[in-house]
Parts: sequence; C-alpha cells; structure tokens
Amino acid sequence: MLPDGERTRAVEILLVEDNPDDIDLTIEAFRESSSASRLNVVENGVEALAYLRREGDYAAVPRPDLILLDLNLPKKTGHEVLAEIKTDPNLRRIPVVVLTTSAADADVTRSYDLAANCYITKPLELEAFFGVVRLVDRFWRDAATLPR
Amino acid sequence: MDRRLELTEDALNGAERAALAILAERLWDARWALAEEWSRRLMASRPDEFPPWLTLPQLSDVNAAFLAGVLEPLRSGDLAGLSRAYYGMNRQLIEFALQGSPDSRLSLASLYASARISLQVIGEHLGPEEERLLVAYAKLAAHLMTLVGLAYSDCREAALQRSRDELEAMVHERTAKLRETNEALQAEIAERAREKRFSDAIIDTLPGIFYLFDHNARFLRWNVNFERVSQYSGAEIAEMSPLDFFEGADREHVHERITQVFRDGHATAQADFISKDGTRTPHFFTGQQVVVAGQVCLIGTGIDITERKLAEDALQRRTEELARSNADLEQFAYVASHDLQEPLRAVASYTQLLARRYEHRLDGDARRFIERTTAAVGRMQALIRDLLAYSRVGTRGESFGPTDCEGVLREALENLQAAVAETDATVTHDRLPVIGADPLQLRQLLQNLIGNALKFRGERPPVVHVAARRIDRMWRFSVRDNGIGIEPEYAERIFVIFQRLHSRRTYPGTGVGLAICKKIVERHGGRIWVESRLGEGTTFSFELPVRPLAQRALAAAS
Repeated sequence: MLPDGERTRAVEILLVEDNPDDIDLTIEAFRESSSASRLNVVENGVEALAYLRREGDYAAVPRPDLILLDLNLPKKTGHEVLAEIKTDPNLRRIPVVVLTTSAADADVTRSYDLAANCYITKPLELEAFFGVVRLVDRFWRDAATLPR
Repeated sequence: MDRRLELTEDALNGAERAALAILAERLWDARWALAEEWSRRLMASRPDEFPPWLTLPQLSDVNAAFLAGVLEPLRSGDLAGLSRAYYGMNRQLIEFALQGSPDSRLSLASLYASARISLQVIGEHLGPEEERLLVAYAKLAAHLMTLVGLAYSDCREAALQRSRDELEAMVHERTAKLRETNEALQAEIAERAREKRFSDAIIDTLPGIFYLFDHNARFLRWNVNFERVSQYSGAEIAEMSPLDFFEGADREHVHERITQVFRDGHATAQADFISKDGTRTPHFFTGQQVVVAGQVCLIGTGIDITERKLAEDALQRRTEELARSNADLEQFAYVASHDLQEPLRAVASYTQLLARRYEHRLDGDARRFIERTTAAVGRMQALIRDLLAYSRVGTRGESFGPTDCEGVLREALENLQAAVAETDATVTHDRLPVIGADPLQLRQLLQNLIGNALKFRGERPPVVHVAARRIDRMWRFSVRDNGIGIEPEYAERIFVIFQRLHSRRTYPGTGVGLAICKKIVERHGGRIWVESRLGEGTTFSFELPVRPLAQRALAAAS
C-alpha cells in the first residue's frame, strides 16, 4: 500500500493517556493495525509537554508525527496540553487527535476551538475501538501528508 | 310730679318770698364758685360715697346746673315751678347714682349732708348782715329736702324692684344656659369615653404592637402589647422616641421608613425590636400618615415575625441542602459516567480481546463464560447509563418553553422506528396541543411510555394510542396499549427505580424507565398513574399543569 521509498522511517506517535488499561488496549490495537507506527506513551499532561520539548529524560526522543491526546489527564488536562501545543510555534504543526471517552458537546467544541485536528470518541465495543484505531493509523500514515 | 307735697304760696310768707327773690338775684352770678366749693367740701366729708370715676369738675358742673335750676324760679317767685324742677332734678341725680348698682352707697343721709354743706357755703358767701335772707333760704331748704326724700324713696324702690327683676331674670337665664351647656358637655364626655373604650379595646386586642406618634417622635398612644413586648412602662414610653427601640442598621432603616411615611403617606419596615432587657424580636411594621388634633402623626402596628423568620431560615437551609444534594448528585453522575465506566469498559474489552486472540484454543464452556461476562458488563453499563439519565432529569432540565407535542411525539416515534417496524406496531394519536414544558424531557417521557407499550406486547401486534385533553387547569395525556397488562397490586411499584415485574430473560431492562417518567412528570408539577387489566392492555396517564406559554423562564426548582 505504501509506495516504496516514500517513507524511510516509522511514523512516530505520542500517546498521552493515564489509564493503563486503555494504554495497553491502544498498543494492542496499533499492533494489529501495522508495524509501521511506533507508539510512545506518557501518562500525564506535564510529561507530554516535557516530551515534546525534549526536556530532562526526553532529550533524545524523536519528534512525534502525530499526537493521540486523552482529555481526562492528571496534573494538566488534555485541553491545557492542547492549548500549549497549538500556541507553541515549534509544536503547533504536529497533528493532534483527541481520543477520549467523553462525547460531551462542550468537550468537542472546546477541542476544535483550541485547534485540535480531529476529535474521536472511543467506542465502547472492542471491535469498534480496534476499527477506529485502524482508521486513524491508516489515515495519518497513508492518506495524510505530514509536515516535515 | 304726682307727689303730695307741692311747695305753694302757703309754705312761705310774702316777706320770705321777697327775701328769697333778693337772695337768688345776689347768688346768680356766684353760682359757679358756690358749686365748686360745695362739691369740694362734699367729696372731702364723705369720700366713700362717691364712685372713683367721678371727678371734682364733673360734680361741680352737676351742682352748678342744680343751683341754676333752683335760683331761676326763685328770682321770678314761681314756687310751684321751683318744687317741680327741684323734684325732677333730684330724681335724675338719684337714678344716675343708683344706676346698675342697687346697693349703691348713696344714701338719703348723704343727700341731707349735701344740703347742709350747701347752706353753709351760701351762708359764708352772704356774711352775717344778711341773716334774714339765709333764714328764709333755710326754711325753703327744709321744704326742698322733703322733696328730695320723696324722690329718693321713689327711685330707690323702683331701682330695687328693677334690679331684683333683672337679677332674677339673669339668674334664670344663666341657670338654663348652664344646664344646657352642662348636658351637652356630659353627653360629649360620655361619647368620648365610649369611643376611647372602643378604640382601646381594638388596639389592645390587636395581635401585635400599636403606636401613634407625632412629627417630633413623641408617642401619643400605644397598646398594652407595646408595654408587654418592650417591657417599658407607659411613663417610660411617653419619654422615649420610636428609634430608641432599634439599633445599628435597623435603626437607620426604620428612620428612613418613618421619614417616608411623613413624606409619602405610608411605608413598611422589617427590623428587630429591642426590649428593655435587650431581647431582639424580628418585627414587621406598618406606618400610615394621619392627622390627629390638627397635627400630622404616624399610626401603625408591628407584628412579631419570629415564626416566619424561622420558617424562612428553615426553608433557606432546606433549599441550600437541596442544592448541595443536587450538586452531590451531579458529582455522582460525573463519577458514574467516567470513573465507573472505565473499569467496566476494560473488563469488556479484555474479555473480548481474550476471545479474539484465543478463539481457537478455547472450548465451548470458556466461550460461554466469556459471553456471560460480556453480557453482564453490558447490563452494568446500561444500568449506569439509565441511572445517569435518571439523576439528570432534575439537574440537567431545560426551562419550560412552548412545546409542540405533535413534533415531540414525531421525534419519539423516529427514535423508536426500529422497534415499531420489528413489532409491526400501529401507533395513532389525537391532535396534540402546544404546552409549556421541557421539550427534551417530554420527548423522553413519550418515548419511554410508547417504548414500554411495544416491549410489553402480547401475542397480537401492538396497537398504541396517544390521547390528550384538557381538564380544567391540567393537560391529561394517556398512552393506551393492547399489551400484556399489569396486575393492579403492582400499579404503584412499577414507578420505583430498579423495580421490575418480569425476569430479565423475558423482558430485558434496568427498571429505570418508568422512574424517569415519574421524575419528569413531577418536575413539571404533574402526576402519573397506570390503569390496566392483565392480558387486555395498559393505559399510562399523566397530567401536566397548564402554563402561560409566554412565560419561558418558569423552570422548576432544580
């Protein structure tokens, strides 16, 4: 599906999620979807920003191509992290997909107002969830052109 | 001159008459000086008998006129004329002296004294060589004095009689007038006393305190309650100002309202009334401007509102508790929707993952257990979802606006489309009104009731009818079906949350649907009930109060 030579490295994905069950489930879903994406995980908003700015322990981490952001996070909420990313000239081009259990209109609207690239409510059914992860993976890896 | 004695020719002989004529001639020119001397001696000799206002020149004038009246007829020898003139003049004088004073000190003795003094003065004027003339004059004078006595007794008697009559009339009149005045006065006093007893009875039986005070904040009247509540005596209150019964902000407030009464006519105030021992009692006061005895005053009453305040405080506390409990419920809803859902979702997901990854290595039992686990999690999720919906009826309700029930029913049927098709149901309805309601909740209400009708169907395809009619101040809706029906003893229980009448196997569900219906109806101020015959069908009815459609912001306390 991927034309040869188009990409030389795996797509780097940063998953910002505090629930270990969800982390493992998302990892499983990506594992079933492809081996071309590399999932890196941080468990709260402060860690997420440190990772993106390569601070402290994160000095040598790769710059993510895509961020999967939960909203219900400890220390800094997903909305706060989103706002900081989208107002930081060095980070704002990185696509952010909000991936959350919340279906509340207020959360959706606020996320898009803060310039989220996509908002996805996690399906409750396993099959549906795996399907959504497959779609996200394919879309951003294969269909979308990402900034360099 | 009707008197017996008239001085005639017989009273004096010819020589005496000639002598008197000469005397009169001699004295004529000296009559002024004679009158003055005579008057002076008279006033000096009997000072008590002359009124204080009578001066010497006045008396001299009178006496000069008197002398002239005597000397004139003497000169012409007309003795009859002299006696008439003399009698008349004396009568006038005596009447004048007695006027308005029946017990005047002017007495007959003083008149005789006056005559004696005049003789002396005349004698001195003539000198000893004219003794003959003087004797003649004295003889005349004696006759004249008889006339004076007659005139005096006439006048005296008449004056006395007149005075007696006048006095009697006066006394009579005065007595009558006094009696009249007294009667009117007594009647008025009695009337006033009756009025006061009546108004005292009114103000003393008032449940609160009564007061009347003037523009200078001086109490004019108050009732026994005022003394009882304030604990001050009447004498103390009379010395106090209305503001003495208040403190701090209340004092300012009451002062402002009193000013308002004197300016605008009336006002009310709410303040703590402070008694002598410092007890504070919340009161509601009224004030009305009145004019009492020509001055502008304030009249009013104060009612103890302790009970009302306590009730208000209790209500306030309960409202706060309710708000807190609503906030708790809201918090619970959040917890239920997120924190409670997450582990459930994990259980479901990992069970499914297990099935997916190890499908070929699991035997029939293992697969069945996984199915049971998944189903149980699904039920738990449904329970949580419904419980959340139930809790949100109160906390997430919209305000009541004009709601077209036709449109609401249409939406409900769209949401039930799959169930309607699957059960081959027929749903009919009356023409539905536009009412004041929360449209989302009304939709949920109809959807739950019609959904129930489809779910608890019998062997026949369901036939459901939605009706609405107005009964007085209520809109009554009903949803009638031909389903399995409910035994009457369960008619109440079905509205209780988590209450189910059937096994989950025959009719799945959480037992929350009708509890939500009841809560929605109650939030709208209405009631819901069920009528049913087992095996024949069920009719759910609910009534909602008619609300003015223009009033949009009529949200229930939530």
